[in-house]
Amino acid sequence: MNDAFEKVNVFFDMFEEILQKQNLQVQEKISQEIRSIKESLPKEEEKILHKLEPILEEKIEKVKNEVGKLNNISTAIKREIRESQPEMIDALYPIIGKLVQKFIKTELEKLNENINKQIDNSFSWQAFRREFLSLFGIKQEEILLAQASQATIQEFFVIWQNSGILQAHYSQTDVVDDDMVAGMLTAIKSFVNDAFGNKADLEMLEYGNLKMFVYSAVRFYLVAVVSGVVDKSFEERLQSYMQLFYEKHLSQRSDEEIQQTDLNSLLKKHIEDFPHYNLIAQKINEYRKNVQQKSHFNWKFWRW
Amino acid sequence: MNTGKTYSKKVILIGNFGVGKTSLTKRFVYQKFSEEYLTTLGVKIDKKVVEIGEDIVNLMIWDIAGEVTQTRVNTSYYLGSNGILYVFDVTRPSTYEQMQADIEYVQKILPNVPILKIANKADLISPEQLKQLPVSYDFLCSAKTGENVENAFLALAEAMIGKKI
Repeated sequence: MNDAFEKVNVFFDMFEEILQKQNLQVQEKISQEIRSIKESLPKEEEKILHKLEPILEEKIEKVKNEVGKLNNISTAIKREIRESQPEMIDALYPIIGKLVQKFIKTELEKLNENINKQIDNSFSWQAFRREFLSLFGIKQEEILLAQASQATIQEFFVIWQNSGILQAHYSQTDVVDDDMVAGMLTAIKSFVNDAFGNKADLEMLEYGNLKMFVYSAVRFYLVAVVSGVVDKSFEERLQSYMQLFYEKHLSQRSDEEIQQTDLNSLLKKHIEDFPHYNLIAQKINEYRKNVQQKSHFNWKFWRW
Repeated sequence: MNTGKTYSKKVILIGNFGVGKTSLTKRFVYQKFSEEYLTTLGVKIDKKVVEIGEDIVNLMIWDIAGEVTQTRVNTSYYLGSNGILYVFDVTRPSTYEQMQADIEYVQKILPNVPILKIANKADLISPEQLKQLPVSYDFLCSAKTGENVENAFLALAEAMIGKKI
């Protein structure tokens, strides 16, 4: 029994030895293969490069040709632009012109607002000095700038709220069909009201360099079309002036009375007076009136 | 010298889409007609001055976009109107089936405002077919031929300034 075991062990040992030898041979073969591949790699690279070179050269030629064509196109475009300048200006002017105008206008508005802020805030010796110096022609550019960009009322409309029928109109140019403008403004206003409900009412429309300010009352609405640089203080003055006009000439009168009044000449006079309208003076007057009314009431009350 | 009065009146044209409201306005204001159909968006406003006797009437014509029923039209377009033209197409029953209900609806918003029923596209219908039309109308018009268009607008202008139709 023991003999048999020993024979089997010997046999297994031999078998293991054979396997190990075979393994070693395989390993040797693999490392040889790797070595030979490593050695042949640079040569292969050279071969590939050799094959690719003509193809690459061909491609480069093609790209060069395409770039050449593009250069021809750009020279053609340049020539075309040079030769047909008026047409190009015609095509580009409306776009660039408007952009430039808009940009300048916005910048001037900002500048104007800054100047106003400075004037409001600096009630100091410097401000007095500047005012004093301006009397002698110093800092004229500020005065000129303010004059050149001054906002002016180009058109003014008094329109019946519901029908859109024009009641009165002031115009510096008289080129527009005022009835049509009144109708279209009313249609736009109605559309805004219907689209957004009573929460929204049209207050301002901007079209190119023109701004249209709307003052809505019950029976009428007033529209002022303004050109130039419109800053906050101008807007406030205008709104207050429109309200004043409404209260003075429209709110107290019946429909018939209004139709018989020559509103056009009243409007003309008021718009010519507008540059001299001072919001602060107006507010002080209102305050005084209120105080007077109150004291009058109190006196009566005390008598009782 | 004209001794009459000058009036400004708002007229609205209402009715189903494609009945010819814009074509009627174009015919009346510019004496033109186009076969091309371009649907109106929102509202389009035109103006025409007419003389009624010695009076001058400045008509502001609001051509309102057509809707299947008038309840869908923005009510603020109706406000302040002095006269109404309800237009329908004699060849399409769907454009006059709603007419009575539409007119009642508009009269609630605009009481005491003169309203004329305009049967348009008269050029597309024979006298026999016309006899079978199940609804009444005030004017049978054709924007294409111009038949009765001016008469309809003038009649409305007369009614608006308080003269007889």
